[in-house]
Amino acid sequence: MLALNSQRPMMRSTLGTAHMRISNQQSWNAVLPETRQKSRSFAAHQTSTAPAAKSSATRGFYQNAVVEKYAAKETKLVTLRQLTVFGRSLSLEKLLRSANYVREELPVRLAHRIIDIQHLPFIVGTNPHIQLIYSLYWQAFEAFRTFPEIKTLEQNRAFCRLVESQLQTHLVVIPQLAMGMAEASTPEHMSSEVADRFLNEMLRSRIGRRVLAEQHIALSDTYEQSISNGSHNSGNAAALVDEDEDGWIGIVNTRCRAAEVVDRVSVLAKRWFRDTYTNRGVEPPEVRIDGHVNAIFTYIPDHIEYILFELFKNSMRFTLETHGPDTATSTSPPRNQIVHNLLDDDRLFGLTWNEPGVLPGYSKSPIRRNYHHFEQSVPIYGSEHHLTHLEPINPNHILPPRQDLPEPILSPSSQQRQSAAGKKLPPILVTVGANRNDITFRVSDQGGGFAHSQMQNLWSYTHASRHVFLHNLENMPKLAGKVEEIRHTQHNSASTIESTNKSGGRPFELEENSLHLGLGLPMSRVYANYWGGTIGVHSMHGYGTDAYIKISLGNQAEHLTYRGGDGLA
Amino acid sequence: MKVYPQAAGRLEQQHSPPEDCMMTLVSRAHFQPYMSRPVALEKMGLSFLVDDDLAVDCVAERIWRSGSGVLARASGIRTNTTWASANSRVHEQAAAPITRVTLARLLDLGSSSTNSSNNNNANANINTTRESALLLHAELPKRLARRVKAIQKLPFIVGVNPHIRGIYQLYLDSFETLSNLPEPDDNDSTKLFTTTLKDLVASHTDVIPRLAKGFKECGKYMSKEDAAEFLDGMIYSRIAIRVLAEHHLALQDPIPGYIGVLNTSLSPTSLLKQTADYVQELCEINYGIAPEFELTGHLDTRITYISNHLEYIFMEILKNANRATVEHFVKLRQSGAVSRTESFPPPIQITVARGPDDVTIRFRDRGGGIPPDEMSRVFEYSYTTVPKSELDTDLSIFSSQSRQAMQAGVGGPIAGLGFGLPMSRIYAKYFGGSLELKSVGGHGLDVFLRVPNISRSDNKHII
Repeated sequence: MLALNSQRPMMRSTLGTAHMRISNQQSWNAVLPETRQKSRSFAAHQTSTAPAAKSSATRGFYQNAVVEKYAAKETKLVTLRQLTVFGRSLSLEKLLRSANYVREELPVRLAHRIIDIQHLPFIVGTNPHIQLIYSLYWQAFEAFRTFPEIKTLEQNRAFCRLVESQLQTHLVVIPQLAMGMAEASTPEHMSSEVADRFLNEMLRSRIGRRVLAEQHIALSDTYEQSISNGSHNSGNAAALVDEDEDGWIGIVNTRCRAAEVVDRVSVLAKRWFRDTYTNRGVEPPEVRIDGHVNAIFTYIPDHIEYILFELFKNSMRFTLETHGPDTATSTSPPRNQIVHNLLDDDRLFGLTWNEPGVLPGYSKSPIRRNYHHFEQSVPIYGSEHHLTHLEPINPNHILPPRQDLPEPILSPSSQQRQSAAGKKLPPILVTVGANRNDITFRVSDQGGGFAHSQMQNLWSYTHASRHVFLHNLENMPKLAGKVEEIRHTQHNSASTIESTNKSGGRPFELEENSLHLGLGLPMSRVYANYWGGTIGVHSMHGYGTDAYIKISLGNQAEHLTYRGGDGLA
Repeated sequence: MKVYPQAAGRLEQQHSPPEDCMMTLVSRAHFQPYMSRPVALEKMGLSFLVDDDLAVDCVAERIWRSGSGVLARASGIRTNTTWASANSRVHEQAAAPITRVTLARLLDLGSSSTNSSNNNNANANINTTRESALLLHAELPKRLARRVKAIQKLPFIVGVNPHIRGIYQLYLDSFETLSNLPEPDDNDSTKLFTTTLKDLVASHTDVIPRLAKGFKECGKYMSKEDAAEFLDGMIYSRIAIRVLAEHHLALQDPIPGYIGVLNTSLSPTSLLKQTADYVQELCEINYGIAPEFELTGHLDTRITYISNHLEYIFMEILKNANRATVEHFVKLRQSGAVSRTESFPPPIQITVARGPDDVTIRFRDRGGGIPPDEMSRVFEYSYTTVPKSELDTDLSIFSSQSRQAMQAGVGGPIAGLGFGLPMSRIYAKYFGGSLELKSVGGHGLDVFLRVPNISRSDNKHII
């Protein structure tokens, strides 16, 4: 673990790698191996009367007053507009205000979560995974709480380094949390519903903190760049930076275009498909788009892309299972046997793991700008025309196709097999609907659907049917739960695919890449709910699945309390 | 004479009340102390002089629920008016537990008549008929009585409405007629029962439109929730009564491919085509244009179901889809979003999917979808997407007849009364299926109709 971290320090364009090692890095490195060992003997701990560890995870009972003081404060909810207002006409004064807001807000939010953990049943709190999380949250809380007020650009740089390091350190949170809750959600300890609710709160809050942190870092980078670029007029502290021509303000994009979002994600998902199913010798299903393809909205693209990626992955996977070369033909219903086997297993619940944060610009916009490649899509009916309230798309905003991801190389044998099979998988149809108040993405596949009785487990992290993924989680130390990390893995491993395939082995990343963790759909819902949207799924068993993601337009505040429900109907 | 709780308590302790004891219960509150002791009350053999109808209901129901099986004697609760005594039989029957009829039993009833085709056909048929008649003779009065009682509990002003009053009388008469029939234990009485039932079924055909009209007129006198609860109960029970009755009648002359009312090789595809053609015609008469429809998926699917139920649902969904598609299309054309030379609205896509446990049919239109705030209301009774002003004038204008037909269901002219979707959902849920809507705002609507496989032998669905 230690080796992994030192080999792969996170790099950013403006901040050196030297700062990445943080003071408490050692401490969690010390905790982690210990914890991972313990996790295997959790059952033993449950029976022993002694609390699990004497590690830093066990915080003194009498130190709690500090947390309670912070937890008593209300969370200041951010709206999408506020995020962009900070970034528009960025000045030093605004940047420092942003920094201090983040500095004051993060400990409050962390304190709320610490209190939540404290209210878990005692036995759950002794679970090593949960103890690790608890310890991480305490460390982060202390680090932000004790950081002095930020008054200069130099202090802001130091603050950004702290934020970066915390973002990096906390990448272990999702897998650890999921493992801890899955282990704890047994009838003796806590119900699956309570565990799910806790996880939803934790993950939603986590998104919120990361949005604040990443937005501030992105704004700081933008500001620093503007100073170094236009060095003549930056002598005064009031150098103004405006949103760039692509609509990026930090991690928010004010000109997300539905078709481009879908297209970017479909490229990634197709790549994932080719990487995962190299030996099936079939091309991924085509992704078609119709409806209001030119709808434009303000959003954090990573959030919608994460959801779409998860849905595309599920759709592609089950389309292959249903219509692939070794299964029934598309005109007759899929063999029920296959459907049943899948249902027993892990239907619909994929989430991949990738090594995150190894490329420059990890959480920043510049790298995304290379992804404006945009296949010619066919607006079938009633496309953009009557959306007069939306800004028209400027052709200049569409950049040339990106070059960084080479097309996959299929081995000759697989190409032959494909032509022998002589058929394509049925396409995935994405339909975009746009209203004054919301935009809906409907993802329709012909992947065989699932049984009506599965609906209730669809959104659970900890339902008994999810436990099969536990061992996968153990093999996945870090997870950002973002689309960015998938991109970076694909970018990294693209060149290794052919070389390793020739020698018969598969690269390490690809093994991990196809791990199914059972978190995809429930986490997608957390992302969708975060800005007031909804996600719903409807299955036609024997035929396919339709998923509906609705995102709310207008100035949405973050939704930090769990609302549940699949929304649309 | 009034007996107050203390006195009654004393009576109860004695366990042998004076025979002439009459009790007036002024309100339910007085009755509370005895609610937990209905059996003791009954043992006391009290006759009540009751001026609170609700209290009587309470006693009757409590006695029943206590499982003491003293229904007959519960009717010993007498009131001092003929009005009340007329009702007591209704209450008695309404309080009796209804026998749960499973779908499997329904199928069994029918299959014995159709399977033994060769030798003992006539005999078997008679036996089946008698068995079925016996079941209905015991069952239907109880269910009718429950409906009568439900109407009695409506606010007085609602009951005064001519439509509601008419329905009340119809149910009351049907109840009286059926419960006065002799038990069908021989051929003649069975025949009598069957012919009577036939008349009753015929007289009930227009219940739903009348109910709809009545409730449209009574809207302001009842809360939405209360009205919905009442209507749900009425419609569910009505479907059950009709299924039972029509099944019995259909068993009299079996048709190949059917067991009673159940069509055992129903092709959703051909029913969809037929319905869609009809609705398309209606739509064209009404608007001058109509969308095409496309059928995809597992079109060779055959299921066991009641054709009428599916047809009703198809009709409602397709009418809505047609209307929404055309209106949205016209709007887009007027606003210039769609070229004026474009003369065909986008097609309605219908997909049939066959799974191991159920068949799902998806209706996908491009009629602009339903806004979120209306989405929560589409299954309300009396909700309609037809604008109010248009509806008010329409109903009185001759030229709007075709539009009324557009709104009408197979059960009669329910023009714009807004029963279509809620009733469709009840039909869908009736055998354990579902009807769900998913809107793609600004684009269109997906309607998912899930039809369970009711021919499975393990089907425990209760009617």
